[in-house]
Amino acid sequence: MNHPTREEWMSYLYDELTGEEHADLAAHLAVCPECNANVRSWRGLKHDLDAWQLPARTTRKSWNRPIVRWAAAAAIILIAGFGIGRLSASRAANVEQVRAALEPSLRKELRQELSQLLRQQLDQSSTTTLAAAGTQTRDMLGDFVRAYEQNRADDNRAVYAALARLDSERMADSTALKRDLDTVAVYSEAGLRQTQRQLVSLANNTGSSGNPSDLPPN
Amino acid sequence: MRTTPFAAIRSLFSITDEQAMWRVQNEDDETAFAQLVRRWEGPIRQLCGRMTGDVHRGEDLAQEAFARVFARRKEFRLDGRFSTWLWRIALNLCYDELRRRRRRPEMMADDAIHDSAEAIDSLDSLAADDPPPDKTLMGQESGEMVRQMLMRLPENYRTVLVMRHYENLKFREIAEVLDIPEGTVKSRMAEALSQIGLLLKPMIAEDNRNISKPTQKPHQSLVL
Repeated sequence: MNHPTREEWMSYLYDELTGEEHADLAAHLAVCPECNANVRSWRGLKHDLDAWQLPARTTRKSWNRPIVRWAAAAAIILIAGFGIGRLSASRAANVEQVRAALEPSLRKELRQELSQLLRQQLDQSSTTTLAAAGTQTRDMLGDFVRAYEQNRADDNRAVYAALARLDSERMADSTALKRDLDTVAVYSEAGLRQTQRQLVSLANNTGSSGNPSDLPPN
Repeated sequence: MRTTPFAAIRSLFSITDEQAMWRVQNEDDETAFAQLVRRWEGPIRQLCGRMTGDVHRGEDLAQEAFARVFARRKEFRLDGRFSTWLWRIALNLCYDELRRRRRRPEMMADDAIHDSAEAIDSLDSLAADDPPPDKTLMGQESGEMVRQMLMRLPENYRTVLVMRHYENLKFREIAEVLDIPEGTVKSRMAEALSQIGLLLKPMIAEDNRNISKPTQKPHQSLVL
């Protein structure tokens, strides 16, 4: 005889079979004393397990523990304080209602505080950034002006030096020109004198044969 | 979770767990979170109480579970089921608690004293309108016996048993929570029942010997 498996019997015990499957196992149970005994045993155990019932919610009674006593004392003080506070505030609303009423305003206040804090931090940050940027700009401008003046001075010096060099060159050229002109003048005068002498001598030579008064005097 | 017709009708007019969780996740909606806590506080408290064997600790763990849900709300994947995620969180907290206890055996002794005090307290609280005292007493004793035996079960068997038997999750749902095959869940359940039967048998036999009134049939159902 093929006995159903334990797994199948578990499904049977906890009603997790289809109608047909359940009927098959029930039919086997009717003819198999071994399986029947097992199932009866399991059913008994299921019933026994139900003996352990948990309370819906416990009230703890371990008052003999020191920590529990301290906790109880603290709770009593808290409850008393809370009760006095509630009475003095003369409010009848329960905690949920108070909480529900307070939550939006608390959230609003918190949001406002946060936005104000954020704005302050942004202002502070932007001020600091601007100040730092201004200082840096001033420093950079100072550096630029200094560099510019230095460059201009260098340029001026270079220009003066170039002008001086040109002037000296011009002077040298003038001197050389004058010297050349003097040389030319000397050579011209000497040439003229020689020409005159030659002319005189020529005239002398010609006067012996003609009228010397035809020649212009020197 | 057991669903009554009234709960089913009410659920038609309320948002689903996943919708509520979406609001919690994206809008930090406290109302939606409070709704989730209202829906799940009971089952989670029961699970933690059964897994640790300590009702009070179970309540603390349930609170921790919801605190963790809120703290990790961004991690919840909206394509998954909220209940699966919540069961996992609660179970992990229970495992952490049990690990802590194993590391500190002295706590176990303290817990035993505490449990005894609890048992005495529960016996003291028997009221006149309740069933006859002897019957109630037997029920209390049986319950305490079952609790002790469950705590002796290996965690993986206890988890399956608690989730199926006490929390009424389907085997398929348990498989999803534990991320194991459904067949494994069923075999663990069968093994858990077998082991708890073996553990309970000698205690029940002793109990039956102590109660020898011929007019009563105490713990008839406990006889295996």
